[in-house]
Amino acid sequence: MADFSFLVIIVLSAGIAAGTPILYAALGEIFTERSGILNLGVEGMMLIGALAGIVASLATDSVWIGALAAMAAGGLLSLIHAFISITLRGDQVVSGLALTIFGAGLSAFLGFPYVNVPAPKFATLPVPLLERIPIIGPIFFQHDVTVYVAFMLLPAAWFWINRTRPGLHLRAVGENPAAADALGVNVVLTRYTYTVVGGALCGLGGAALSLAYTPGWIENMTTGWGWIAVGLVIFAAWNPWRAAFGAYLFGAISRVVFDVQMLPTAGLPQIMKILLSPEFLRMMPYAAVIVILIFASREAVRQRVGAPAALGQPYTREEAEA
Amino acid sequence: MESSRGRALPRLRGFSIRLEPRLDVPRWLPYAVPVASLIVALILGMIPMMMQGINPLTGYRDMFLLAFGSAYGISETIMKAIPLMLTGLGVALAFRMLVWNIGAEGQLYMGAFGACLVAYTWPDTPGWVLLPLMIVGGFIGGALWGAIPGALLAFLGVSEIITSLMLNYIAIQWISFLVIGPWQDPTSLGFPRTTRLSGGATLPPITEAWYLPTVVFLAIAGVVLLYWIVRRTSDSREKIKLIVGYAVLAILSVGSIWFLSGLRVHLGLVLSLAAAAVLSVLLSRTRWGYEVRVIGENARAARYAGMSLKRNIILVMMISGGLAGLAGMSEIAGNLHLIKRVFSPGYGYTAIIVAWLARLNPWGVILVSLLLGGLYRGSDAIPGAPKALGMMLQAVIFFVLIGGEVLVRYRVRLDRGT
Repeated sequence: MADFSFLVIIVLSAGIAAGTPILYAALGEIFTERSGILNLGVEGMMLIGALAGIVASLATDSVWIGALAAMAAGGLLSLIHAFISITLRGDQVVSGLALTIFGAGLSAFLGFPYVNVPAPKFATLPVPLLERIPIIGPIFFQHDVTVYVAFMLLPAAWFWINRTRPGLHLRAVGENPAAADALGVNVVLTRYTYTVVGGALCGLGGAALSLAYTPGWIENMTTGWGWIAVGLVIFAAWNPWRAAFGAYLFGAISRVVFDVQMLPTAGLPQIMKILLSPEFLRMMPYAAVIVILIFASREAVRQRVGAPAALGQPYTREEAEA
Repeated sequence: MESSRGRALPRLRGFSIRLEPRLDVPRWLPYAVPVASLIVALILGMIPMMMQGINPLTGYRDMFLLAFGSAYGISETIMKAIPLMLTGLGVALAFRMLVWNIGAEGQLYMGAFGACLVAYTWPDTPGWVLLPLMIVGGFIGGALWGAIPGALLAFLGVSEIITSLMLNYIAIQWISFLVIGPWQDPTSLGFPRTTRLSGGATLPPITEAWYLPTVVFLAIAGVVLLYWIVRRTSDSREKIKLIVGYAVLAILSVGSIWFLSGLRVHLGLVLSLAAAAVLSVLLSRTRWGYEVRVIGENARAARYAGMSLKRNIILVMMISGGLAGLAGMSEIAGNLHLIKRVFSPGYGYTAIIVAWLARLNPWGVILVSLLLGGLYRGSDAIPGAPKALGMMLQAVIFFVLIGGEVLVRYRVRLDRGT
């Protein structure tokens, strides 16, 4: 029994470590989508962030500057999407897809000299005292700084969106930009701001990957995690707490998948051997996203929670319907 | 004060830029924008090339020469273009209905699976039986994979963007499982690849032997066309269009046999062109094509008119996936002749760009595929991460195009500050 609880602690702890990059990206996307802008470029921004983090921390020998550079890079990239979807009123789905392809291509091209170059990384830093708490300590407080920053960001994001005046404006712009505009909220500025904030968080998510969870740069190292973050935002119904739950759950799934590969399969029936092969296990996180989205859609219908009403729609004063 | 028409953008020293909706669009503009976008994108693409210490001018020259500078180069460019054409056609069809199928990559892999399942089950069948069966197998493989996000969207309202993308990763793992598991070539010494396809299961390359069937085909097509022109067409412009189209088809088909025979280009090219022709006719001449267009433009109106959204979403996703599946079939049967672990350099993703650059037009897809196929082929000329350079340039073209499309819809005005 002790063995089992030990395993649970390991899986949960690793789930939090692995879920952190996804969580940053999901939080960023929540901010962006709450303002009514759908940015499907998360994967691309994470990749650029991951590379920028590596390049900057190699150049300055400081992972902190690396993380800042990642945020700047993600923010800069999201500015392209903001310009196309807000100013030029282009199609947000198409622009987001372009951003993902662009980020993947650019990072692979510019990152070529950095593949597998040893780079600095955030060291594991147990929190004094808290780490000694049984069960809780090993799960939550024996990680690197990126994990703790995410812990702090979570309540802050929730508070900002739901309990502050700028957060109220953010929600208004996403739900009914015409009404927000009439009340004197600058719709264009708000959308630009939160698209860039979202991009910066996605970049940070990339850095949490390349400077902490899986240190170093490899082409396409996010392997769809950015898309998982986009899916999680829907599952989370645009709520940071639920996004955290989802992100850590996915972290745990991807970790369990890793552990199960080590199990001996001798003596198991053929079908189990196939299901436990590395390839099938690697499908699991992606399949889980689909399953979770199916449940989320059922629940969304039942509880009538939905996307921000103006999500994906460009706003222009003269075409406003309100 | 901001004007009531058009939106004021950030002011520049007493000027403001406004976007005004165009009341009428000049006829040439929708065609000029992609061309201009391409040029601007190539100029912007120089920046990252210079960052990597590559002289962009000689770089572009080398790329162009490698892709289009010789008969062999052109043949290799077409080899890259074939899967782009088929996936691009599929994506364009789905996008027309605003169904965001970004799972063409996975559907391509499942198409390869379906085709190979047929080929490995009946390896000793002659080609004229086996190849059509493989085409069917490839189409079904891709169609079923496309049907999953389609059904989830139609019945449960689950975002097809996420599900179709997630299925890409799953399909790639499935193929990985096969090539190092049950389908692995026992003589490959552990190398992750399948057994070579039998001779009957490969798409034959274009040779001089094709002249005869082509001429027969052109003759039959000519008779049908003549009947059509005499009996069914009253508009003289339409007649001229049909005749010119036929002449282009005849010259191109005979000319390309002459040009490409003895090189690697295979029957997959004909398959792609046929798919484009069928799709183009379906979209412009049938009730179903009309429904797809109406649903894409106004889903609510389509529902009031009695069109079934659910049925059409699933159908379109299946055809879209099936076309991507054909790309997988033709890539395996025509080019590689066996399955390797990751055998597509992202054709299914590039297909998104192809479809959009082509303005979702089937024949446009063919043209743009040749161009982006040239980019794939050409970027081999650049040392260091060639695949990535092609990908990046495609994305830059894509961005500039999206931005450029604004010029089609809106007139940009500079106003002096008020």
